[in-house]
Amino acid sequence: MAEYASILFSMILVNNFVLVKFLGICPFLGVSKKFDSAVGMGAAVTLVMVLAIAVTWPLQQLLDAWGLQYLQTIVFILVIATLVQLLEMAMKRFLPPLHASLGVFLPLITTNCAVLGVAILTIDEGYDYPQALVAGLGAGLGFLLAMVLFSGVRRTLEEAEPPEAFRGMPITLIAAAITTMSFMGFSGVIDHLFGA
Amino acid sequence: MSSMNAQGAAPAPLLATVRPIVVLVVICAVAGALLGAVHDVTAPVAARNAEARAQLTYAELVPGAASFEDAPCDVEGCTASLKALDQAGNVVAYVVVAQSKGYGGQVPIAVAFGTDGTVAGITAMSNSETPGLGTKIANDSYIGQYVGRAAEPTSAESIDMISGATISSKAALAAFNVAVQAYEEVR
Amino acid sequence: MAAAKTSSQAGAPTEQTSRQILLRGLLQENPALRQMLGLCPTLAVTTAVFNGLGMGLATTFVLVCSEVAVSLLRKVIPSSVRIPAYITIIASFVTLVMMVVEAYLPALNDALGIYLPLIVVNCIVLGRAEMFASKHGPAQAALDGLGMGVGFTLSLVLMSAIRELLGAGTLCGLQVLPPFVEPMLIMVMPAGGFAVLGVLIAASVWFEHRGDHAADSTEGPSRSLCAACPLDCGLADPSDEDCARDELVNKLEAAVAKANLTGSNKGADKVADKDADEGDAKGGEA
Repeated sequence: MAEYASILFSMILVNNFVLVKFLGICPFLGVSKKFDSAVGMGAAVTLVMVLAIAVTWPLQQLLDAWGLQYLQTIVFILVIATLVQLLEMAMKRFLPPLHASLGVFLPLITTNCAVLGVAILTIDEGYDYPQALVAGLGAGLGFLLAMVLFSGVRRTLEEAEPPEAFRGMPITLIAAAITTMSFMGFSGVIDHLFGA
Repeated sequence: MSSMNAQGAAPAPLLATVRPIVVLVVICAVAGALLGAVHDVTAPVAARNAEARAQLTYAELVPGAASFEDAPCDVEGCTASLKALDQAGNVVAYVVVAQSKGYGGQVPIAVAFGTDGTVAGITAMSNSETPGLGTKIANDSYIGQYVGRAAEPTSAESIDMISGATISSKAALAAFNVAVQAYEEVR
Repeated sequence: MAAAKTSSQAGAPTEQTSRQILLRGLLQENPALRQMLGLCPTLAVTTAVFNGLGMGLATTFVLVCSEVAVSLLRKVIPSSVRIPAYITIIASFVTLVMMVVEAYLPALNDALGIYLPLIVVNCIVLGRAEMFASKHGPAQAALDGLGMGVGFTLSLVLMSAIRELLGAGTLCGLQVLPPFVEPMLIMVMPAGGFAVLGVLIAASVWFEHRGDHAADSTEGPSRSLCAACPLDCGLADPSDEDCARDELVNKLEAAVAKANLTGSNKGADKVADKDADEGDAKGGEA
């Protein structure tokens, strides 16, 4: 149990996908302007991450068994793209309200480095199936956390009047830098909370 | 990009659904075959180079060794364990390569233990830590701390970590402790 | 499609000479600094010049190869499966690069780690395949890939040089700063990555618009995310010029507001917010 908690917290805080690992930057910078979009995107990403791992982890076992590890990249990305497509169709059919709120984010997630990244990462870490799923959940929640925090930061940025050249993306990035610094404090937490 | 044929008339519905799938399958098959072919060429090269690099590391750690003999390496985190032999076939040192999770991936360390039970030599191998920060574990100022120590589990208090690179430093320490464990099994 | 070289620019505005295609990826439409694409590797691997250069060259190779392949196959691939087809093609070249790097440049392989396979989801590659290669001949596609790739590599190298020099005191592994100068460690950490990129973009904006009147500079680095995003976002045939990210974000936000996810606000307020935003979107948003 503690092991899962450790993985979860590590993914959410210490190895936060956006602010530490730099995965999922495009949606992070593009969709974090409003709180609602931030929540929606974060939730959609979390869902896709967990589902993606649920499918790619067993597939990797197959690839390993057949000695086809070099096909990992192709197989994973095609699986993720297909998965998202199917998910969108399923949502539309069976959960229309959910589709109305989250569905619009799904196409943006397909070629999101965060999803492919988490799929590959859980394999590299050598997690077993339950651990990998927990890691995916943690990664998604970390993404959600970063998005929500940053949407608050951007609200404040709207009032700011930086120099001409800094308007828009540059000042947003500087703000992201400061937000990242706030996360640096967590790196010692996991060791001490869950034992070195 | 349309699926109309040259006359401009829409193809039969069956063709319209089947054609995209066929094209996709063909592309995947060609890609797979191509990659398989390239893999057959590059994989042996990669393996050979990795082996050559490993041999070089062992030779540097134990300069006087005439040959190396594989030893069991069952500890988790141990990737290689060898006995360094002199020309007469006597064991002059034990070499263990172990790794532990660092910041950017695994941090592999190669340790040579002398027959007297102390660390005769140690090297930090190629890793994915932050360049200029975590990669400093390869510097003598850090890795040199382990040389001459007794081959027993070392605690974090007795090692000076690299400031700003705690995770990498701790990973190197953890890898060292794994190596010690593997050495205990072999000697 | 017209021949690769047109004699003058006097004709149709969308015709571009080879020179233009090649050069626009360097500054005007620099993928990382102006189009805001491929930001993940830009931030992640630019801690050392060696890494940045390696990543840039690998991406350029994948870009050129996949653009040419997509261009050659553009009449064969049906529109309905074009995205999976492009992805397969791109993923193949990425896997190729991975295998070659692992065999012949293991140091780079270790340094780039997980970001090497992530080239396959680099928005630049899929974006150019969709936006350009699928509509032009192979020669032009190759030039476009080369231009974008080199522009990307340049921005990576520039960022790496700054971060490595300030953060570790070295360049390409060689000590440049005198030993008594303590490097700014934050530069090689994630926070430094964001900050340096922000400053670089600001610098490139300033550089491009120096001497412009104030009115022009409100354009800002307004390149859109979806300019290269080939996925169906509901916008009819978005092109580089048409598709403004603001529009998509507002669309998303309108959809989200309608769904009233957090139940916090009435839809009307949100729509009013959106309209106000559109007004200063050009200046305040990127």
